Amino acid sequence: MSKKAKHPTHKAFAFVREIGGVWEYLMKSNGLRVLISPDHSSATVTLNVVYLVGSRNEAVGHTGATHLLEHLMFKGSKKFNKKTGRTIDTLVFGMGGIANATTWFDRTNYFELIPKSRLFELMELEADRMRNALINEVDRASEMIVVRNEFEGYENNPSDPLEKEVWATAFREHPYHHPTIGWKSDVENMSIERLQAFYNEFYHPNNACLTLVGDVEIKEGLDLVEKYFGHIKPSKNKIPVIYTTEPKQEGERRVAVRRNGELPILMMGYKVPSATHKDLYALEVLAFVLGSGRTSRLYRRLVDGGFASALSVSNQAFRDAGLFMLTVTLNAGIALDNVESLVNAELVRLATEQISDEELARVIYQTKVHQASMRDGSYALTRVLTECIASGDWTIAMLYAKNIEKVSKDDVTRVVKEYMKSDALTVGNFIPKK
Amino acid sequence: MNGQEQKMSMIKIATRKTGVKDLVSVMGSIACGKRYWSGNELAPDIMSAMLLSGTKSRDKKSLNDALENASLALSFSIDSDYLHLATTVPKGKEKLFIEIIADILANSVFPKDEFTIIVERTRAGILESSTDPDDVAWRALTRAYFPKGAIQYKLSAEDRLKLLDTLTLQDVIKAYKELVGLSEINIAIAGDVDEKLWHKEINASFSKLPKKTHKFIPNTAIITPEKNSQNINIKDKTSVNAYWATPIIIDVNSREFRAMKCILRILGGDFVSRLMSEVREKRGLTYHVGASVQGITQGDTGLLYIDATFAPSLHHKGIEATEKVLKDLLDKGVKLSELERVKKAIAGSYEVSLATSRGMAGELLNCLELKRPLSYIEEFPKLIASVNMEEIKKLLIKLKPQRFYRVSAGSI
Repeated sequence: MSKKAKHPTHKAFAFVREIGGVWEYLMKSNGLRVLISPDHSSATVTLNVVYLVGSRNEAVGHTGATHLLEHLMFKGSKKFNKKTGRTIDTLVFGMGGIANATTWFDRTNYFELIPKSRLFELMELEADRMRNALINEVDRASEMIVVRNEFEGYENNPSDPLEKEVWATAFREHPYHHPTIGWKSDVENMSIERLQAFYNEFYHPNNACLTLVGDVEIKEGLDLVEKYFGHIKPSKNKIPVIYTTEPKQEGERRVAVRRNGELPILMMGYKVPSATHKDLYALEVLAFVLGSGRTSRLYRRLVDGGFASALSVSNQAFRDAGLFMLTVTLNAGIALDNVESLVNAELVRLATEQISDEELARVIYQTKVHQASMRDGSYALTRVLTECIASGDWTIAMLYAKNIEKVSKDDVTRVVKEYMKSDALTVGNFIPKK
Repeated sequence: MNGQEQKMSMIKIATRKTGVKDLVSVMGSIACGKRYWSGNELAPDIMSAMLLSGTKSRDKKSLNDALENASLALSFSIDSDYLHLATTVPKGKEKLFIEIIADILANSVFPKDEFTIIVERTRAGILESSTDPDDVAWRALTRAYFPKGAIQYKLSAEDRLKLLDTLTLQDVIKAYKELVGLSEINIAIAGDVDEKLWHKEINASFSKLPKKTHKFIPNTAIITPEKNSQNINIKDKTSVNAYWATPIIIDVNSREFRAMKCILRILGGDFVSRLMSEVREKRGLTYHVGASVQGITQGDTGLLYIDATFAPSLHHKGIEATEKVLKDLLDKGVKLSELERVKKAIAGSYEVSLATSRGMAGELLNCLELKRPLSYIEEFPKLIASVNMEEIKKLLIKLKPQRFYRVSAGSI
């Protein structure tokens, strides 16, 4: 699949591969991975730096550290701060592009979708804050309240506390147990020293991947990366490895949240393998057949059937084992166990009867269209690449449609039998309390 | 825009090529919104939700199979002015898409069992929103400023549930017959677009629709709230949503409108705005605070507003900090350096927003709906660059004496 010929060479980088118009290089001096995908359809570019650190790298006492650190990364760096007159906020958010940072289980990313003319300034900033961020107590104290309000805002929606409970129940030992935003008391009490140590452990070029998508040539992009990131040394210490694996689940688990609310919510999460497992694509097809669009099986059964007002099904595959999640918001007066039985009946049917040719053809065609839409502007591809980088293989993004096309009806039946077992299931109920 | 005009039958199409291959983004609007309807207020919503329930020639299953087999994730929504549609159309599926849309607009059927299901789904949505502090606060704000029955007046969850109980299938069918047809239709297509094909197929299919003419009357009436603020208590909510608003009438094609865009950006339009700098960055009181405007595009009285979220324990401090920023703006005005910054930022955001086919289609649709020439897209950066301090001062003088009524909702 990789093409070794015709790739632009650069003295500072080793060429790794090219797949689907995305070119991968490795900076020889410090191990920074670089993905470049030129697209000259508009004079904009998305710069994105993904650090392979997320809430997966946290433990009790400092849950939410990655996310709080993400906030603090906007407070200043050696070259960009109030004293130098060039602040990160003004540069990143003041120029009118789209810019932000996000944190999830396996990664933290900082991105800017900007007019190309401003690219060099953002490169300088991202390089500076990779090792020179100013992380201090004054900023932690005020930003902690901001993050706590973010936490409180999410909690206003009943599905948020329920989802936290489902993950915490499904994963007892692995750090996917705790939410990315952290437990509230950890967010409130985490020390600045812990955050600084976290930064020093994980924010290094050899634990990062820089992506450039948009109006930039490969050589031009590599020149800029070399200019701004070339002097940064790799980490002296080995990046800490997460070795905790979740033991096999040996029985169904149930959890409930009772709060003021109006509608019951059912969540069902089945343990599934990591995103790099061979069964990823069959599970994706299964999620599609069950819950994507008005033609999906559960939409027709539950929403068209008058049992539910909303439905989502997704194969939440990450770097480590994840959950195949079904979430159903019930109509008023509908019983949770009734809907759970209907979902189970559909899963039993899928384990015993093949999906139809029409269903498989629909998934394959829609996936192809989705793959084309990834090339609609520079941000769409960046977003998908970010999740695939985090899960351990960015090429999943570019080969997705081709791999979906290889899935057979038998594969779908097999993954239902293999993974949709009650012993691997965690059920969450939101029960409205008047 | 003041006074009365007829929304005549006409089809306006705007297309633009963008860099994406093998698909286009389509956004459309039909001038048949709720302002043209005088019956049960929920009838247009249910009608819009039932537009994928089948037509005379396609039952619900075959309609949705046809759409999704062609990767057409079509959705409809209705607001005060327009029935909106949006989707992505893959190359080769253009004719099918246009034919289905025309069929839906001319030949929809409204089966009784489907009506019952969608009424229950709507009931669930209303119940869910009844404990959503953001929705509760915003609706209360509109009720404080606008007379009952005005297009801007948003009913409470309780009132909507009562209306839902009295709604009949006949109301929905009547809404479809009275509202939907060939009135002003705007269609914007951006991406890998075959311009000739789209024009030909749209004109061929849509011109057969039954003609509709709607009388358009903007609503400028407001009422003066008796108090300055209102707190609404909702149990078990971890965050309070607060809105401050003042009424505003502004021509969206005027220089004054562009001055307002600059003021809103300075006040609360991005992360380095005054509100974000003071209330979030400096004082750490909120995750979100911003400023925007709503409901002004058709000549109605709209609302210029600030919205924010606070922990219940910081609600009072948050209000104080937010109101101080607002007062400073109205009392002391803006600095030239701030204006220069936001002019560049607005132009930059605009450029970036056009970099996807969906963003471009959205802006083309704006041009059609707001009667702007399509050259506006190229001219916008220059138009924004020409905003001057005098225009900013003039608008701030206009806003200064006005009251900003506040509504907060949550576990206060």
